[in-house]
Amino acid sequence: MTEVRLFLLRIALVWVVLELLAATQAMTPAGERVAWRWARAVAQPLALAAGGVGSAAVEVATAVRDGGQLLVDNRRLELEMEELRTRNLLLREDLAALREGSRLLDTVVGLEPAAAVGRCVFRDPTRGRLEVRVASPLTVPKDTPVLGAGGLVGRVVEARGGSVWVQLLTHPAAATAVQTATGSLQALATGTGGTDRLDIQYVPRTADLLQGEVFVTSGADGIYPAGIPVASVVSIRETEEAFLEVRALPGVEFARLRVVLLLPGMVKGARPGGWQ
Amino acid sequence: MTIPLLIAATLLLQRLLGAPGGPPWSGLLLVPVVWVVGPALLGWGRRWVWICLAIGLGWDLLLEPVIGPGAIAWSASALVLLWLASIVADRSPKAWLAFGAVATAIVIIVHRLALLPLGVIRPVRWIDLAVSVAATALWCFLVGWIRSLDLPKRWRARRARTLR
Repeated sequence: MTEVRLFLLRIALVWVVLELLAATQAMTPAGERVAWRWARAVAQPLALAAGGVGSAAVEVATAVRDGGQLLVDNRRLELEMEELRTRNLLLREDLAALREGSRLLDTVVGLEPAAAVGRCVFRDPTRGRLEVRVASPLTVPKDTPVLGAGGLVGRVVEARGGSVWVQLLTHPAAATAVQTATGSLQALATGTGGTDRLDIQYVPRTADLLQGEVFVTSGADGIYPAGIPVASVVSIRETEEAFLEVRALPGVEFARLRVVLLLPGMVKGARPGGWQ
Repeated sequence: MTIPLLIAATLLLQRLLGAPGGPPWSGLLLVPVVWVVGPALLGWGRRWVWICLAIGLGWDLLLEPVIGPGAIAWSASALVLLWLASIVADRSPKAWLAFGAVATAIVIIVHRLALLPLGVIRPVRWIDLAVSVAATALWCFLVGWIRSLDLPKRWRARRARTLR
């Protein structure tokens, strides 16, 4: 049986060889040898597959490269977006500061030529100090009054170039001559070291004073011009001593200061044109 | 040496049958088919398939534009007849007739099939196939009948009678 199979296999192989032999002689209508067409037909799928694999590999390589580039671009865009957000925040802050400065200027009618707007860059209310940046050509002398939205902030203690250090009213060493709005009572507002409390000293026991009464600068200290709001009374207590114990809340929120107004050209003791 | 010469003679005769000027049906007779039918019926063995392959190559060389398909067709026919002879016991001239018909049909059809992949489409007309099968079968029958007469034996008997 095996011999018969071998014989048949041989015959089949010879037939295949003969068919190939015939294909090398036969011509297609296009004048091409049939064997070439067969060879091409066999090779074409392989060539197509090889081409497909090659192009797929190129595509994969391109995709990987593009993916890497995309990641890099994405990272760069994220950074740019973060930077833009930061700039946006800064611009919003600047805009708010400008608005605040504009409102502040509106509060001191007639003082615009003598006033300079400063931007708070560092606030330290617990230690009673504040750093302000002003335009560098401006010369800010020591003890220049500093105003904020709501009233008096303090005085300049040091100025270097465009950087100005301000001593707040709440500083333990700060003392401001104040009076009631009507000028009937003279007193001294001293810092307590707290961020939201002033002591009003030397208020006689007979003084006609109520909670909510506003104290303004009197100009008696020779530093601040008269008429600038300083604080409003929050508590009045009698003690065994000769004066009342009066505590007041500063008119300015030191922790939220963005912009302040410096009055370097202000004549000491003079009352601002009109505090609104 | 006689058989190769006879094979060559049948191939040449086939060439002559297809020569211009002859009747159109003369080319339909496949003379060398007897070399497929005879060895199968006479039990000349499997090697005869290879000889038929050589006959087919000769056929291609003399009668076809392409060498190869004829060899396939003739060897395929020999292979089928070899198998057919193993299951058919009859060896009479009628068997020659039937084997001739089968061999002719196989040669023609397989030859056309072998040409198909080459793009050479040679349609088979059923009438031509029938005529070819019939003519070749009759030719094989004739050869088988003559062979059954055992002419050499008769010749020897006649000479013996004459010498007496």
